[in-house]
Amino acid sequence: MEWLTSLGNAVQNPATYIDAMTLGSIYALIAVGYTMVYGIIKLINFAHGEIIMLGTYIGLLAVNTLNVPIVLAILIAMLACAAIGAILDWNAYLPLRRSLPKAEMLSIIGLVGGAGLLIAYFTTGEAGDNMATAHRIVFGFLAVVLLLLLVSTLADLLGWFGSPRNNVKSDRLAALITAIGMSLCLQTMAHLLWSAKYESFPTSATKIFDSKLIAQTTEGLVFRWNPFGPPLVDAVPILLWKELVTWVAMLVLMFVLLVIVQRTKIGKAMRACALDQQTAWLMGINVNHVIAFTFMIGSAMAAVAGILYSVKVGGNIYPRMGYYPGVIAFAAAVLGGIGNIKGAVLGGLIIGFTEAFGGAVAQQYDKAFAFGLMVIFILFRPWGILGQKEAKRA
Amino acid sequence: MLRALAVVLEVRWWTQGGWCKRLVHLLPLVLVLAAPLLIEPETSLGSVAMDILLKVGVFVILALGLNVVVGYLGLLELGYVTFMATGALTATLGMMTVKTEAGWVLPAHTDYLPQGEFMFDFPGGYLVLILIAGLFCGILGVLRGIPTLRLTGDYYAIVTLGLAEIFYLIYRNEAWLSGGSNGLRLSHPANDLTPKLFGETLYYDNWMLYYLVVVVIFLTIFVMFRLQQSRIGRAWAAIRIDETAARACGINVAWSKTVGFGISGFFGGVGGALLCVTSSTLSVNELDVWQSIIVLCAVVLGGMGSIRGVLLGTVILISVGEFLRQDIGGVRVPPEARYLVYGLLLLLLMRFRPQGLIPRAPAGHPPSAEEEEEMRRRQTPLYVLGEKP
Amino acid sequence: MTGDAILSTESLSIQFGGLQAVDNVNLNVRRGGVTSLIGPNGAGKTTVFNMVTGIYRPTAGRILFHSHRGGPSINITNMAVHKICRLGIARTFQNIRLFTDMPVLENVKVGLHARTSSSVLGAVATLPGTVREEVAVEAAAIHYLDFVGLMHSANDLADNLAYGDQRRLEIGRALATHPGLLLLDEPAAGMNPHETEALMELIGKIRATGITVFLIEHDVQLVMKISDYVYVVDHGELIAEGRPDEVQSDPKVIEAYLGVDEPAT
Repeated sequence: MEWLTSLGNAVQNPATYIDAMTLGSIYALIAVGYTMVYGIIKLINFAHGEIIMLGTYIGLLAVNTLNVPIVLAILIAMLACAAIGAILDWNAYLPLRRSLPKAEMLSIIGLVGGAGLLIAYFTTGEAGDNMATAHRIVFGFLAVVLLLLLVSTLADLLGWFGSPRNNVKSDRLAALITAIGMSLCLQTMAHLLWSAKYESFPTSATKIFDSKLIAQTTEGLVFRWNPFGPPLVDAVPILLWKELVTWVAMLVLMFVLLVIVQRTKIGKAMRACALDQQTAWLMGINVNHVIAFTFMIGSAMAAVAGILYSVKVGGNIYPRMGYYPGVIAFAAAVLGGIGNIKGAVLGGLIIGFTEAFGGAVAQQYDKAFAFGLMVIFILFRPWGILGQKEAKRA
Repeated sequence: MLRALAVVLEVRWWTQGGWCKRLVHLLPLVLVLAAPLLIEPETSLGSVAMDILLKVGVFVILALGLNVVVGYLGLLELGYVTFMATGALTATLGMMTVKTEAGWVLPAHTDYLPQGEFMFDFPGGYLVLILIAGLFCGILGVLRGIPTLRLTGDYYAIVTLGLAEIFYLIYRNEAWLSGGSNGLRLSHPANDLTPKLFGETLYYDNWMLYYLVVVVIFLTIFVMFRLQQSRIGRAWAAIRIDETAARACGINVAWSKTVGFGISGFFGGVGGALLCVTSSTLSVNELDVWQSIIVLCAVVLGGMGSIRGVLLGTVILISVGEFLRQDIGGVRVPPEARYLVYGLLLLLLMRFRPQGLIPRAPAGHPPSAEEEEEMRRRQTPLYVLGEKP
Repeated sequence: MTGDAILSTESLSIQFGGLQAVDNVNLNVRRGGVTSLIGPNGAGKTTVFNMVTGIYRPTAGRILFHSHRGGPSINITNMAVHKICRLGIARTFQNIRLFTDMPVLENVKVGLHARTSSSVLGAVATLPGTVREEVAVEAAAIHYLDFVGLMHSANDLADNLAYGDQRRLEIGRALATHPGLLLLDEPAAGMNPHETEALMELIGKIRATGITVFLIEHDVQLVMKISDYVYVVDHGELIAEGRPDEVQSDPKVIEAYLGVDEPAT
């Protein structure tokens, strides 16, 4: 009964609870993106994990090149990811929902050209000279491609190419396969651009986050409310600032999100689209814009989650970093009841606790517990904890 | 009766249409059989070609197996790699099983192999192992499939993904089973474990392995054709299009799906058992979920539910992918680039040609006017109207 | 009357959430002939069919099926859909549910699924029995197509058929399961008068073979012409039953159905 002992230890150790809460908050932030997108277009956005990864890399770039504090880096990553989310929806999923418009040609040229250039750029030939010039040319092209994607997205959002038609031709299987394809593309692009090596935020940038808030010293528990003060040495950390920041960030963002969904006009439109897209169109809501907005919000949340995740584990920035948190957060979304924001928070926390305590029992299998819980829920209660069972109608 | 024979053997490819069409359909067959005349495995280019050929061959079997669930049943399966890994492990462990004084011993470590007699070291032992791996994975497919019977669409996809991750974690962490991160080494210096068939070593530079794969491919294609044309194939097609209507037509949906899962798993296991021979080491670390996505990509590219399509899709996708891996003419493409190509292919296909390169043909053989007349005159006990006696 | 029933329901009820869709319905469909179930939109007619064929599970009540004259009555209340079909109850759907991208002939062959038995191994090994069965299935399918008059389009895709022909094909597919009781859910919906005429002829032909037909229909003319017995439901409850002329003059029916909610057809 070795595992029982380790479980007992974990239960008595406050660190397990703190870890579970932090993990759970991060999963909740990611799960919101899944749950909102699924609620409206009934699609598991497999590329959501890649948004997490891109957000983290953008945050890292901001810290490393612009030397901004990490809080500002989070904001930059949020904005960038919101744009990426809209581009993703426009270039991958929107074409499946309606027939081919003119503006779309730009996105196709952008996608294929971008991929081709990226491959060509990293292809090494015998003549290794003049690569510097080649680098500049290719980067120039890549910038043009990105601009093209952005412009085509904007053009559509602003209706430059005529008003979007309401054409339901979406096939859920096709959308799902597209999502997988997008996930592969983004992951590999990151791999080519930033290589597969693990990176982390510089310690100077995360110093405040890593400082102790509550620590155990010989004189008992010590509270340090000032993170800028001299570091506490010789103290066993109980609660770190980054953990508190993660919890607070999750709660604040969820509150803001709930206000947006419940109290604003766009929130009302979102709820209408989730219920019935056809009718929403007929009521004068531009459903495509609402969907793009949903992607933007979810992606911004994912950026926060990605950076907080890599700050939490200290490093772990690499092209596939988004895969596991992504899939596990989907589990959280299912657990709470898909389409339900409060459910995503609840599910995230449950999955966080499962993983933390499961990991305490069998370190290598922490993810397996989360997956197992997801499978059990989908099989026996697919509508989740807070969701409602749909009346069966043929 | 001639028509029945044509249905059974699916010889229409080679008997119908103009000579040009016939030639196009015959050409791959000729090329496959005549490969030894064209490729010399001893040269460096030849060995690369051989490697690619074998990989393509094994993936053809895997893709045809996956096609049962994805193409015939219309379910998005993301956990197919489980069968590949299980089949490969079963075959490898079987080959390594040794009889010592203490009895039959499974190899606990890769660096230590007990001396003694190998369990499957008899003529045709490897064939038996392939069959065992297939059957084992077939049973696994049935067991894994039963709980998922009610699921469709995204939920089926995500459950298979979750289960595949759990299996992956188990295989990766249980080193006593899979050798952990070192993997299991087949060509061991002390004991030559490379499987043999009729006295010939099966290795990638050896034509015996090539022909073994070719024979298995032909058997697989035959089985798939027969299934497609038979009662169960019709039931699968009905379930894919409209499950409720299929039930109302008296089809036992649960049973038909379970059979499909079993068959799909069987071919996954067979493919896995062949896969482990094409390289000298079996490392379960490499068999992650993305491998299922590559096979899926091949099926989608060729055309879900179409045998010819799946063949074409796999040949294109795997050979392009393997080709990108090679260092040809001094130009080196980064190995990850192939995933970018796969991803883009999926994106563009779903946008412009969601049915794949060669879309599935409508089920069944349209009878000609004469055949119709003949059938009309035929008496059959199956044609009854009125109350049951 | 009960002794001669092929299908009887005993206080059949179903609830969806808080909605009582069907409440305490007792039906006795007599063997042979045509029985109709009519009622305004949303009265719960299709729900009754869905319960009889096992697609919905009733919250209360029993459904008994007497597959042959003098035989035992079988309780089919919670039976699986395919088992009910194999016992001899076939149906068509209100919104046509054909296997759209299959040829017409294959659609009928699917109907023959339950009455054939060749196994997967037999198919793979190409056993002579399986090949014989395959030929017999094709011949029988062609005969059924002939019966519903669709022989001319055997090789077309079901999706490409004209609307009326799709309805006929669905009936052909249902007949291929060899039913003793055939449930038709609004077979004439959306048909022009000419097609309706042909449909009535087909129903007459089916009736002549001894198959009991149980019919949901909005076209009152059609119902009155071909039915032997009529049940009327409204708001999930049975409000009247009897011979067509009796029902036609029932004040409750006129109020609930003919008087208030005159159908456009």
